[in-house]
This record gives sequence, structure tokens and C-alpha cells, in this order.
Amino acid sequence: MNSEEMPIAACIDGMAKAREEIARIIVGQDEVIDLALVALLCEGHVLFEGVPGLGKTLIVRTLADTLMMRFSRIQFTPDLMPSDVVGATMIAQGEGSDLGLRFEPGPVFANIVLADEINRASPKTQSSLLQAMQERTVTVRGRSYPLPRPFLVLATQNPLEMEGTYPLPEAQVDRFLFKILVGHPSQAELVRILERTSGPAGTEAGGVMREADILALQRAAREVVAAPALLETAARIVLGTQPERAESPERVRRFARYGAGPRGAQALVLAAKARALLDGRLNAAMADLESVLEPALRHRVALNFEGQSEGVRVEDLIADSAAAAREALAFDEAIADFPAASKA
Amino acid sequence: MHEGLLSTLRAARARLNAAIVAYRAFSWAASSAIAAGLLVALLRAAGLGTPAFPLWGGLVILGAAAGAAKAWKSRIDESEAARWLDERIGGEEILSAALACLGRGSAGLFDEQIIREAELLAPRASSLRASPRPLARRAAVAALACAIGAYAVFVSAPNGNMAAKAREAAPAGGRIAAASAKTADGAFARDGGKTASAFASSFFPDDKRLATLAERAILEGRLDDLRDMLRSADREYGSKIARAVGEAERERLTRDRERIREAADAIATGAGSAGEAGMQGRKGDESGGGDEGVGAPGGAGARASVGMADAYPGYDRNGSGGSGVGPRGRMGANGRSPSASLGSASFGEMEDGQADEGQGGGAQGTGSGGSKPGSGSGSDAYWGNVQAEAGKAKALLETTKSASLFELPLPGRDSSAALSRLIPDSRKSAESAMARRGVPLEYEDFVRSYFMALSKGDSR
Repeated sequence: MNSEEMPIAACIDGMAKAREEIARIIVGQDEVIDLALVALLCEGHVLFEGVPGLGKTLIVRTLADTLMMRFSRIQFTPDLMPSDVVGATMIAQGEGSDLGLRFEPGPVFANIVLADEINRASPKTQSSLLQAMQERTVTVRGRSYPLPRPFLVLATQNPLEMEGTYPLPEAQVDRFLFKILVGHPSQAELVRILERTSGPAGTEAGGVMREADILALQRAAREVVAAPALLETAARIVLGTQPERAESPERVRRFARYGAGPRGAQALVLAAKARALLDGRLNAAMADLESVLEPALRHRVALNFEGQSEGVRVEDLIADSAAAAREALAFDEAIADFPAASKA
Repeated sequence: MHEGLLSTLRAARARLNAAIVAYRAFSWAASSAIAAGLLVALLRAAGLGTPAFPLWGGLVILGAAAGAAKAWKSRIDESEAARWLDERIGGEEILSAALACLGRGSAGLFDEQIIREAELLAPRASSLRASPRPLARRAAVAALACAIGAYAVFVSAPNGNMAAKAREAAPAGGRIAAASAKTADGAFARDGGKTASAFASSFFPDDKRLATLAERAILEGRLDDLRDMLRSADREYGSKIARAVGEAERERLTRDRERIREAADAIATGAGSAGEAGMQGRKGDESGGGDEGVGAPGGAGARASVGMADAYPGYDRNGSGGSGVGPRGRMGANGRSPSASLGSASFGEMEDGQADEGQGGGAQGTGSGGSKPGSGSGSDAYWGNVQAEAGKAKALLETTKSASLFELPLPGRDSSAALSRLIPDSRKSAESAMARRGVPLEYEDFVRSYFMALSKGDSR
């Protein structure tokens, strides 16, 4: 660990402060913020899905401000080119009077990148961003440029306006750690939003952490201990989403087109570890796993036509799979019952 | 190092495994108690003499041992015990994680810290026990099952209540058994389980042929025959006693003669008519064969039996026969056999000892009856081929080629009405799916045209 970095405990405290700072700006959406922080600790990327005007951009910007990281935003449109994302080589005047080629980095060279309405760009442009997400480098004219660390892409897509869009292929959606559904605020939250935004100029979030602290936490998240039973549960849940397996729940076999793969299982366990670390624990618990089930798996399981026609939700299938995994790991009935007095 | 944590987990594992093994043993003992009880009862009913209680007890113990062995084979390990303790103390998998850390030699960055935290929880975890309630419940079930199984074994035993009740319930047979008990050697009356052979041999110890005939008479319920045999033997004993050498021999023959005489008297006074006799509830029917009468189609059928003579050399001939029966007919015929002079008895089942009264044999019967409902078949241009059978309400329908898609005409109903209610919902689901981009693009036209076709069919 770098001597300049804060100790892990201090970093965890710093994260808690960051959460408080974000909550000072963002009303509600606590789960969305928590999951974004978890994704940051996992070095994963997040796909937000929600209608416009729910504060997605504000969340991302506040996150960047709080963590004192470089932020950039790319508004995806059909005519957006890959060079508009990753950057381009330009003819520029070098030293003296010589003209030379110089790489001008694109907006992807930032710590936190907001890819707004990612499904509006052409597949070619989407692919350039997704390659950067996966490899954390950008290759232009045969030369690779590493992206800054930490690197987090927060992409958004609007589930309503599908006309003229290019939905992300399944293989590329799989590269996002989470798919988070951003919902409408409650009435009380909306009132508080109105109070904050309809008055004088709003407050801005202050920075509470540095890049180095985030990197230390990212390393620490991988050191969090996961018990064998937790790993087994994660594996069972992921395998239980696959319709071709005879052991999968009945609804999964009937309504799923395909299920999650190893990358989904990795996402589950890593996210559970990060969640435990955010809560100040050094080992992941089943509750951590449960809390990231839906965001980690909902974009890795697809419904078939029958499932869509029947109005089945992907989350239902995930819940079925989780229930089956819990059942498989249930204790023998001889010891399943226990006196209430011994409960914690 | 870290022995405190490990010993806590080991102790918890041992306790939990003991609970699981005991639970399985009780479960299997309960099942095997019932099954073994039934098995032993069946063996007794089949006449297979077995040591009932040792067999039953052995099977129960075997079942319990099998259950325990199965549980032991799938016993839990330390990691399962740690998971159980974690769940009970709400430790957020700290004990499981600590065990994993110990397993990998505390190589991780946080391993030592996790183990220290787990050790703080160890004293609390060591006091946890599996609830006794499931075990107690299962033990109670096992005890109840053992009681039921033991009762089944007891009542099926020769001295059990069921046999006693059967003897009591058998009206005539019971009387004979009671009468015999006074006169015979006592063993027959005492046990109810002594065989007819032994009983017969006790009267004719020196004459195997007579003993066999007496046994058959007992088994077949021909008590009059038995009585006559005993009286004949009584007469023979008179000459035997006269020829006897020595006082002891004479006394023994006299005793035997007295016993035989009393038995014959008891049969004469206790058995009543031959047509009412039962013998210890043992089935002793000997039904005669017969000819079957033939009724007119659809009307009365008649069945009558003609008795067959059944006799033994030197004894009375008794014809036996059944009454004529018209199973469904209105005019079943009853006949009377001119040759039958005396009906024989058929004896009731073992348990209730009821006896039916014999009747004279019947002659072939005849009958005539009503008409059978008609049947027919036909075809219709719209309904397709229709076959109908009166009285059975059966119709076979086939769709015609002119019937449109999804229309299966049924008599008197517009079958398209129900389907027309379903189409809008299905169409709505399909539209919704297409709106969500759930339908592959190349299939969307197909789905639309499909519902368009349905709509046209519906409006038609």
C-alpha cells in the first residue's frame, strides 16, 4: 500500500463522508448512489436506465465532485463518431516550424465518464467506448493510450424512446457491472427537490476523497473475504438463471432466453465484497450478495417472447433462482429450527 | 493457534451431527415400526408362524440404524457448522469467513483481523444448541408409530384379541369350539390355533384313515359326518374295551371313549342344523358348480346352479346347490333341483363366522326382457360426421374442411365466441412485446399478420 494513501479504515470513513456529501445534494436515490459507489470500488461500469429528468447526470457529476475526480460527459447521437469519444490524431505544429501528428485525447480520458443515451449512437461508436471500458486503454493509429485510473463509465439509456436507437448487443451489455433502474422520487422527496432547486443558487458538493484513496479501496475490496458458502450461493444463483439447465427453476426454463454467465458470477461476488467494505466489514455476508443480485444480473438474463408476452419480469426469474439456491443450501430439518432466545 | 475458535466450531459440528443422526434415526424408526408391524401381521395372516415381536423389534432397530447411518454419511463439516452458527448469532458470516481464512493460512490482508473478530464471537457461539423441538417431535412420532406397530403385532398374534373376537363372533362355530373344549383334551379349546389335524387325531390316534376323514369333515364343516364318525368310534370302543388286557389299558380306553362320546354329544347339541354351522370362523364353503341360464338380450338373464353331490364313503350324501340368480333381468328364473334332497351349508369368513343357509339346487332358468336402446350414425354437411348412441350421450365430431381456422363447431354452441374474447388480450400482449423490442424485427410482420388474420376470422 502506498504510504501516501490513507489507511483502509480512514478510506472507509472517507467513503461514508462522500455518501453524506452526495446525499446533501441528491435527494433520495440512496440505493442508486450506493450502487454507483460499489461499482466504483469494483472498477466496474454502470448502465442507468430511466426516463429523462430523474437526476442521473446530477448524480454522476456530484459523485465526481465529491471524489475529486475528473469528469466528462458525452452526449451520444447517431452522428457521433468514435474519434469524438476516444480522441483523434491531429496535425499540429511541434517544436520549431515542423508540423507533426499529435494525439488529442477525447472525453473518454477522464475518471468518471457519463455516456448519456448511449443507445442513440451507432454500433461503431458504442463499440469504441465499450472497448475502452473493457481494456482501459485506447488504441489510435496503432498506438495505445492508457486511460486514467480510477476509470468509471456511467452510461444512461431511455427505455421509452426506442425509435432511431441502436440497442446495445447482449455481449456488450454484459460488460457493465450493474444495470440500475432509476425510478421516480416519492412525493416527500419531490417536495424536498423542489425546495432545493427552486430557490437561490444551489450548493455544490465538496471533495472528500482523492484518487489514491479510491485506488486503495479498490484493492482492498478484492481482499475482502468471502466464505465458501457465499461463493457457492453465487454460483448456484447464476447457474439457476440458465434456461437450458434442468435444475433451473421452472419459470426460468420457460421464460428465459439466456442466463448469466461467469462474468455475472464474478460481478456478484465482487460487488458483494465492495458492499461489505462500504459498510465497514472485511468479509462479505449473504445480505451483501442479496443486495446486489438484481443490478448485477438483470441485464445478463433475457426473456424470451413468451416471457415478454406474459409480462414476466427478469427480476422475478432472478428471485426464483435465488430462492432455489437458498433452498439448496438450507440446513437439515433437524437443526433448521432453533430457540428464539438464542437469536442475536 | 486459534484453537479456541476451531474447538468451538468442532464442538458445534459434533452437536449438530448428533442432532441430525438422532432425528433421522427416530424418523426411520417411526416408518419402519409401522411397516414392520404390517409385515408381521400379514405374515401371521398368511399362516407363517414367525416369532412376531423379535422380528418386529429387529426391523424397527434395523430401520433406526439405517436412518442413523444415512445421516452420518451426509454429516455436516466445520464450514457448515460455522454457517449455522453465523445464521444463529447474526454474525454476517464472520465465523465462516474466519474458517476460510484459517484454511488458507491467514494469507490475506484482512485475515488476521477477521479471525480476531470471530474469536470474540466464539464464546457466544459455543453456547448455541440445536432446538430440541424437532427432535422431541420426531421422537414422539416414533413412539406413537412403535405403539401402533406393536399393537398390530399383538393383535395379529395367535393369542391376540382379534382371534378371540372371531371365535366369539362365530355363532355356531364358537359353540362347537366351546363344547369341544369341555370334552377334548383341552388344547384345542385353549389355543384356537391347534390344527384340525391334531384335533381329529386326538379322537382317532390309532386309525390314520379315520383321523384324515375327521379332519376333512372338520375343515369342510360337515359336523354331522364328524358326529357320526365319533359315534361309530364310540361303538368300536365298546369291543376294544372288552378285548383290553390289563386294568390300565381298559381305563385308558374308557377315558378315550368318554371323551369321544362327549364330543359327539356336544356336536349334536351345540351345532344345530347342518345348514347353520360355522367352524371357528374358518372358511369352509363348498359350493356346487352349475349351469348358467341365458336370458333374452337386453332383458332378464337367469343363472341357476345345479348342485353337485359331495360325499364320503360310508356317510350321508348331501347335495349342495345355489339359488338361481337373474343379475339384471326383471324375470330371473329360480329352479328347483329334483334330485337334491338336502342343502349343504356354506360357512362364513373367518372373522365373523357368519354362515349362510344352504338351498336346494336350481335348474336352468330362462327369462325374457325389455328392449335395448337403439343406436345410429349419420353425417351432416356442417357438423361433419356425427355418430350418436342413444342412452350414452356420446357424439363424435369431426371438423369439416370448410370450417375456418380456430373454429371447432360444437352442437348448439357458437364456439367462436370464447375465442373472440381472447384475441384482444393476446394481441395486446404481442403489441406490448413489440413495443419493448422484445420481438425480433424479422418476426414483427409475421406477428402482426397473424393477429390481422385472427381479427378477420373473428369478425366473420
